Amino acid sequence: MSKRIKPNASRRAFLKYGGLTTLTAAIDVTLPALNPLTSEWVTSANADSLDKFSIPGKNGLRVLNNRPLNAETLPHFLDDKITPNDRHFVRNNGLVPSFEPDRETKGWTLKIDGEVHNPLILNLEQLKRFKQFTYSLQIECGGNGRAGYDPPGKGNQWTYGAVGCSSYTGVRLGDVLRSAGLKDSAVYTGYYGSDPHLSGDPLKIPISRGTPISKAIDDHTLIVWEMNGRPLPILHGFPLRVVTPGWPGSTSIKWLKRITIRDREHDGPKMTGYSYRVPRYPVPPGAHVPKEDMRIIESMPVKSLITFPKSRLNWKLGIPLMVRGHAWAGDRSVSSVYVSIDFGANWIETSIAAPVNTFAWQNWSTLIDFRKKGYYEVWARAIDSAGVTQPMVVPGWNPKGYLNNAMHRIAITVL
Amino acid sequence: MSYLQKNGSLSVGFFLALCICWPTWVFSDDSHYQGLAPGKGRQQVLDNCTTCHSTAIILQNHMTRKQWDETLTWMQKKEGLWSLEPDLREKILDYLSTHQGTKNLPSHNLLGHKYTYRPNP
Repeated sequence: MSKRIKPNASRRAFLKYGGLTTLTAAIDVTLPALNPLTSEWVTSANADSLDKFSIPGKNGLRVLNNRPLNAETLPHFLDDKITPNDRHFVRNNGLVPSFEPDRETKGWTLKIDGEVHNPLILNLEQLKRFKQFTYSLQIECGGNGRAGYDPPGKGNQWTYGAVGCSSYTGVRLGDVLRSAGLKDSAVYTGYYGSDPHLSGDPLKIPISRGTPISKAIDDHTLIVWEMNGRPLPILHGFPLRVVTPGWPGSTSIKWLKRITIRDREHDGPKMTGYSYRVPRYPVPPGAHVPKEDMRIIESMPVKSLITFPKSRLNWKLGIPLMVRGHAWAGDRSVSSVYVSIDFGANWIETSIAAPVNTFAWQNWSTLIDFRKKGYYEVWARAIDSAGVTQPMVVPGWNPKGYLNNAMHRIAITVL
Repeated sequence: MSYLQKNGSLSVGFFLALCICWPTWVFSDDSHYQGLAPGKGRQQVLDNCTTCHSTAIILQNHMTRKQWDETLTWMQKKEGLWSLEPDLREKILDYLSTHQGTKNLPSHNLLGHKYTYRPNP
């Protein structure tokens, strides 16, 4: 190891005994390695072979990062109306906690404190006594599409697949907060999870975000323990997480232990600076934007995805082709989705269904008749309930490359 | 209380046990450099920049030297990165601005057409 200048004692100890570089750098790629995130064996733990890095319990994901673990779903694997557990994208700022499910569930508590009249400490049994709801809820990473920006936005270079819509069972966050009694001074929530910080420093928190009270007490903002009828997978926050649908996924804090009600905008890690913020006014690509000119991302913008067919399909002339996918629009709904097979010159309206519940994504489909052989791109464009649509090219640049809701395009060759 | 606060000693013991039980590690060149391209400063980057996160986040990002410098400062302020002697910092920044700089950006073009039609200058 190289010279280091005065790391504090606990950090030095961690580096000496627990430094995962020591562990991972010394493991040959062909030997099975312990996945430090899930405590399961995988064939490779190094970043140079991410294509060999398989995540237990996941299928059809492209791994962007092994530490911390970040992986997006390939669009054609998002074709299900409701995203199954093994196809939902994974996003982490820190490490995944590893503990034995049964042992930890028994002792798990959720603390509600801050600007409330009656601070609460609830165990899971008590939490489950509130009225329970099951909703299909859409979550998208704020950085989905980051790879499209030039100059590049800083961070993991998500393309299209950091989005999912699974069915969650839990209780309304609003019901729990009302039971604690919100004070008039209550302005914002602050959620705290249990993910260890990458540095191993037990005093550091990788992320703690929240939302204004109005979004927190919306009927579809839930504290959940089940995903698609089964206990939350560890990668998705077992045993408890918040789901704040339609807002950046980072407001859906995993491994939830505490909700602090603030009398001001929450300022936990990844709430301030440039994190999950965009400029208040449009800026040219590459601009330096002062921190005070950045605003927090709230409702995500309208967007759609083509999930069938898989891009680069070879199709036979004369047979109509089913094209389908999903569309979503943050706090709004989607009123229509159009597709084009001539680079936007003409648009074909698709059939779009209502969401199964508010904040679920919506399914659309259409049949395309290709008149000639040749190479085509299929573009999809959603319009939200306020008449706002997706840009054809990448939207306005921002320093961290958030909110790229440009149209999804796939390639079809008709033979 | 974080997981590590509760189970710190368990983690330490676990890793220690793992280190002791695996005396026959094989170093393969590729995996040792974790995908970083050869160049001056590569080892310094490995030693100082892969204890917390892997090289995956480094390899995904392309920035100017100034931006890499600001990133190092942010990690020192907020994320627990230790201080770096000026020489060492320069070596690291040399490597990053050369191999993860803004020239020759990888293409994220997923289809046949390249959408680089720039606006009217």
